[in-house]
Amino acid sequence: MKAIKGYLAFTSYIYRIVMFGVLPLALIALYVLGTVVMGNAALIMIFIIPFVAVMVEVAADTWMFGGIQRKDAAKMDFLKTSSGGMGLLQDALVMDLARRLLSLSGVMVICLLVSAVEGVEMFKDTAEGAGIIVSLILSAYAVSVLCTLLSRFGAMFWQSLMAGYLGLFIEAMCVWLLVLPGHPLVLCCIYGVLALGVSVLAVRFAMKKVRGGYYDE
Amino acid sequence: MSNLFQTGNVVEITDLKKKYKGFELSVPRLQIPKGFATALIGENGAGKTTLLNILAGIRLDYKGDVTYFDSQEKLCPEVQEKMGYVGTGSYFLPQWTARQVTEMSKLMIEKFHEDVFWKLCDELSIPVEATRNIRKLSAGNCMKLMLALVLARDTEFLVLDEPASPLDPLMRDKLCDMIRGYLEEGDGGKSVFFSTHNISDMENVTDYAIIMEHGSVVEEGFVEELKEKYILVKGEAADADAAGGILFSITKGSYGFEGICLAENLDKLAGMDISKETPTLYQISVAVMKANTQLKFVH
Amino acid sequence: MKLLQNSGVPIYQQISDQLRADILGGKLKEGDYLPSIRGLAKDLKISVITTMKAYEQLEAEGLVTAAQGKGFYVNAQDSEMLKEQHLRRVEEALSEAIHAAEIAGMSDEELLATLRTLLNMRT
Repeated sequence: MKAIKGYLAFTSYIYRIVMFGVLPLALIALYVLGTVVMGNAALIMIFIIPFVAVMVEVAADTWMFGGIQRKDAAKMDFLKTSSGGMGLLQDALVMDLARRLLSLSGVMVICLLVSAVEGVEMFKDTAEGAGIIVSLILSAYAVSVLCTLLSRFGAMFWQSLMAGYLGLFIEAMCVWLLVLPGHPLVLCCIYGVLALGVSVLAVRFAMKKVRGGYYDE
Repeated sequence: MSNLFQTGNVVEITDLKKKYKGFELSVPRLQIPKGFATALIGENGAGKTTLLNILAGIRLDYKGDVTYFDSQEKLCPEVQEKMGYVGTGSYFLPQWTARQVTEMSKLMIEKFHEDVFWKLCDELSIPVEATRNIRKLSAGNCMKLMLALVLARDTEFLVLDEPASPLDPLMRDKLCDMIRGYLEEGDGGKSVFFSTHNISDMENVTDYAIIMEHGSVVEEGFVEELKEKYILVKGEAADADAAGGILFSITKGSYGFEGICLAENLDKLAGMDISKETPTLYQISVAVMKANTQLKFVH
Repeated sequence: MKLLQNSGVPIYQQISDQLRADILGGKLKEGDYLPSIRGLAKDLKISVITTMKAYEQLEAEGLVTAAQGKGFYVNAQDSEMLKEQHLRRVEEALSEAIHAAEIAGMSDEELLATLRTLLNMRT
């Protein structure tokens, strides 16, 4: 509970409105719109949504932890001179990742439900389909975290945007691997491990940079 | 004097050493008296901020001992809880708002009084709309915000890095009032340590002064004692050269000379037509800094 | 209490002078507490140490006593000591006058004559 409160303290009102409300709804709306406009395009749209999510997540991090790993910002004396400051920061970093994964999974599940209600059959094999969807979620999440890690070296919005573009490229490779004939379940596991690893790395690295401010540069 | 009233030290430093490229902070022994406001004075680059950062616990790579509250404790969460720090550089992330830093304060500080904080914001007229980024605040408003955050806590010791610099004259006066109010609240139990270039503005709230040069403490003492130790002397131009050898620091001109003399050397000026005055802390500080800069050139 | 920043008289001296006058004049009575050091410093907008020095001066003169943790209270002013206090101040003021006369090149006779004139001028 305290971790969630800590996370919320790091978010501005606008960030909350956009990231907790507008963004998930917009992704779902985009999916619905895409399937309607392009006709029977649910399969394409379900692959497009993670790309958009990666881009927006990486760019939006500017307003949350933008520049946190920069030498000058990493000092954050306000947090460092309070006994609970470092714990608060770590809580916020972790909860932000949890929010991303939840948000992305939620959006994907709702999109699938929408199509299911419409009676669209996306995958012939349910197990294979589930593997692909989970892989999509995990890869998009992992890529967004990885690129966020890079974007946090810059405090400017355009720097985050560049990291976002890089994210699109990496995510494209992940999806390409996914559509190659192979074993989606194996890939799913690999992406899962990657997601976990990148998450730990991102939190550890940000904390290390901030704690490094206690010592000589 | 003052031994009667000095009940202890809020900070004790022994054998403190911190090296940078081309600079070394070296403080063999320093005590900051409890219950008073202590000013840290010195040129840019004298090591003031480094010393403050070490005290505040945001520089941990140094050699030596720093203890707090009558040498009861080293830096630990309990000490941090009782100590409030206001700094210059990167205190907040620029994208934070006043509301966010309030929320954070509530979460990471046990005794943070939100009502007091908002009252102070109002009193100091800090523009703290919920959506306004801290990066949009002026340096003066940012300083006021930091002070309000710190004063809304239950602390026993304030460490303030250049609090007066970004403030306008009216706010500096208010800052002095707030420091005096803080000391009165503590009735001898609360202490303030601040660095400043605005010695004149802060003189009426400075009880103890520490003057630093080139990483060392070159003079320290209760201000009233320093004012007895040093005497401001003015004399005729004819005596300027003779006086130059005796005075601690001197300014010569065609009209005459003016300088600071150690009270113990005053009798050496006998025979000269001089007038004496009690120097201000500003005059003492400038004289001490000048004297130490000269020493550097002699060696 | 009125303080003059640029009068040439040190602030602590001005405080102790005024408190001394209050004590000797009976405004502050035996057992009364002086204002708290930090409270007075706040009210007068001066540093704590300046107030302390004023109080120490009064203590050294035997006018007040420091009570641990409670502040300063006014002592009983016995008339003998009071007289001595006043005598000392008269001596101080006269010594200063003698010094000034020396600088002015006045002879002792001239100085005494001036004193006599001033005494006669009193009503």
